[in-house]
Amino acid sequence: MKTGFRQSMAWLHGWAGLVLGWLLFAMALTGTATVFRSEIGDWMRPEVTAAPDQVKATAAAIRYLEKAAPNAPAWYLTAPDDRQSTIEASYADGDDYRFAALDPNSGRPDGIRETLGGEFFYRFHFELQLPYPWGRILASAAGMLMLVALISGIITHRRIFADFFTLRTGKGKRSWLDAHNVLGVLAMPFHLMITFTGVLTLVTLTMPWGLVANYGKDTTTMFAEVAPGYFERERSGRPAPLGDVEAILADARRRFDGGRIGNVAVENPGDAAAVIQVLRDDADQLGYSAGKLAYDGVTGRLLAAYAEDRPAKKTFDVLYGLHMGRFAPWVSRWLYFLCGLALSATIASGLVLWTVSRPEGRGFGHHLVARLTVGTVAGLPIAMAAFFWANRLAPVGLADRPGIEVRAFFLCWAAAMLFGLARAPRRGWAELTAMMGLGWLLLPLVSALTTARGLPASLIHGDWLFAGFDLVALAIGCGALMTALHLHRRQPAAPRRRRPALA
Amino acid sequence: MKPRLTLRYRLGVASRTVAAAVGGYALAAAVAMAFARALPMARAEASTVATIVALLVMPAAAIWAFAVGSAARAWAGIVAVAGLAAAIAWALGPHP
Amino acid sequence: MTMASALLLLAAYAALSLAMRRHAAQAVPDGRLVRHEAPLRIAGWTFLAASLALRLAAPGWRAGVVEWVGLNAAAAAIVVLALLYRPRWLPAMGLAALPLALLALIV
Repeated sequence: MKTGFRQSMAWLHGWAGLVLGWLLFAMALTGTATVFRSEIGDWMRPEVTAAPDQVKATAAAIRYLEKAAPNAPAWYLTAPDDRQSTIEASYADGDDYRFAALDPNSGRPDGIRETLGGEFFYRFHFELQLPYPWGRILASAAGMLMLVALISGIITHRRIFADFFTLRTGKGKRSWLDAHNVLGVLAMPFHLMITFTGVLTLVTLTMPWGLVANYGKDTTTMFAEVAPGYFERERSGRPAPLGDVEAILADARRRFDGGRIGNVAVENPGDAAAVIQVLRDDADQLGYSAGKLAYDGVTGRLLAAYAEDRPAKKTFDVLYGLHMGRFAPWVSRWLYFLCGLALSATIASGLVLWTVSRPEGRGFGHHLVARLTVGTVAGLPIAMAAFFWANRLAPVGLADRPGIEVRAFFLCWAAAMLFGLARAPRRGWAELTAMMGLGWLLLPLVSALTTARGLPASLIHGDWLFAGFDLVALAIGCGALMTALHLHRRQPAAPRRRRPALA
Repeated sequence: MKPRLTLRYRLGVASRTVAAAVGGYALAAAVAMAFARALPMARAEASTVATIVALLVMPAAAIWAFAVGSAARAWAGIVAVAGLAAAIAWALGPHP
Repeated sequence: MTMASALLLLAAYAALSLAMRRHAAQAVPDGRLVRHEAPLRIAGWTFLAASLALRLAAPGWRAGVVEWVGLNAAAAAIVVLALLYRPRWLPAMGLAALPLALLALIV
């Protein structure tokens, strides 16, 4: 490439962004939704009311699992906190993996509508609904490409300081470039951080060579050295009931010095060699998975206690924690959400920019990109609304109810993509944005009609989680409808041409 | 400014892309192994640092593959550094 | 602490944007701000530094830094929107942010 450094970086930026742009948009938007994964989970389970004490709630859940899943090799639970009322439990059942949300007052799943909740967006974000390990590999590759796009974008942006605040509207291609630049530059530290740390969360799968170099195939020693604090022991074969679980969890919380319990793993339940591992809540500190305690499940004796203090591993844990964002109190959480929206908008505006900047030779490829962009970008928010509609409308107790919600999501997205392919982009954008607006605007109404926790009720009772969700839905709906109206008004009269125009 | 889309140009782009993706990944892996074995710290710590470094090497290699004067030079640089890193890793053997 | 820090950031970005000729012309079309380019830039960076110092002084500096970085994006975004829709208000917004920041510290 005989062109200069900036030009080659501009070329690289365009292609790196385009190749997986739609996938990156989907990852960014579902990742943004995942910021409020716990709250979404609560909104999607309106039957649940919070319990005051997380230790009692988790103990109740474990007692339920003793009866419901006595033969599972281990149960993994997430203790409830101020952002999520339910206990989430997962365990192996033969070859399948079961996932259940348990009521914090009774410890049972009865009466709670079956749904994946916020877990759906979380998993989609890095597994892309593909079987292990392909989804994660693809997500990692996309993340790496995003990093290349970010770096090449920074290099190629000549007037990065002079144009820092520049946003001119009504100038067509120039305005799209301004928007893409402003969205990208203003939140650049976030974009770089979230992308780098995102790739980092998947390194044990994608870049294990640093570990392989020193440990070879000896994964046991590797886990013991790299992530100590996980107390492992084999089943003894002698049955024994679990001891006073509540006392164990209360002791753990005491040892966390005013902190909260986060994840609880019960290994070898029902066996004399049962172990209860308690992890400190990730909301308590920046480093992920800090503070581990292991107790004998039968006697309640403390077997091991570990708090990471090695510099490199601590750095890794902090980087991991930065991506997961569980440490974030509400201001930071909303900032993560807004910056995530900015990243999604940066990617989307980049895709649109690509389609409006090629005046010469608009061939089939160009039109395909333009139309696919409409359906993918406008369709995803519509699909997310459909997911929530399905949650409110699908009858409780239906077989595979979670599957119905997921199918609603993908069917709507596919329909939007087909619609985008069929319509001319100018009309497609306006029409799909209008559908997005209606879908989100009417969601609080659907919720109020089908549950007892609609917006009026939640405002009266000070139920800020439910009220907040519904208000955000209204805001998205209004914003989308206003945008759709603006797009509709800007349609130029169809020009007379001798040859039919495709777009 | 835009280069003509000759076969030679397209092959150059393809070559650089492979150098960035495949070569870049191999380079990152080799650097990870070299750092994991060479760093004078506890072996779990060295492996951790090596992994983080590898994640920085990959995008850097990709940028480099497209910034440098020719596809041949892109390959040369990546193969040379990867070879050096691999040699260091092999010579040192696993961290005690 | 967060509020004061955020308000200082708003003042900082307002000042830094008005130190640029293009945006000064949008906010004050008769060109009175041109003489104040250097002081505005110095003030902007000073407020930025002060905002960070405030955030670091509060306990939990690690999460504080993360929050501060996010607040930068939010403050800059507000200035961009102000320049787009109400550029004439920007100098007043920037100035008003200062006593409000002080108030936020005391209250």
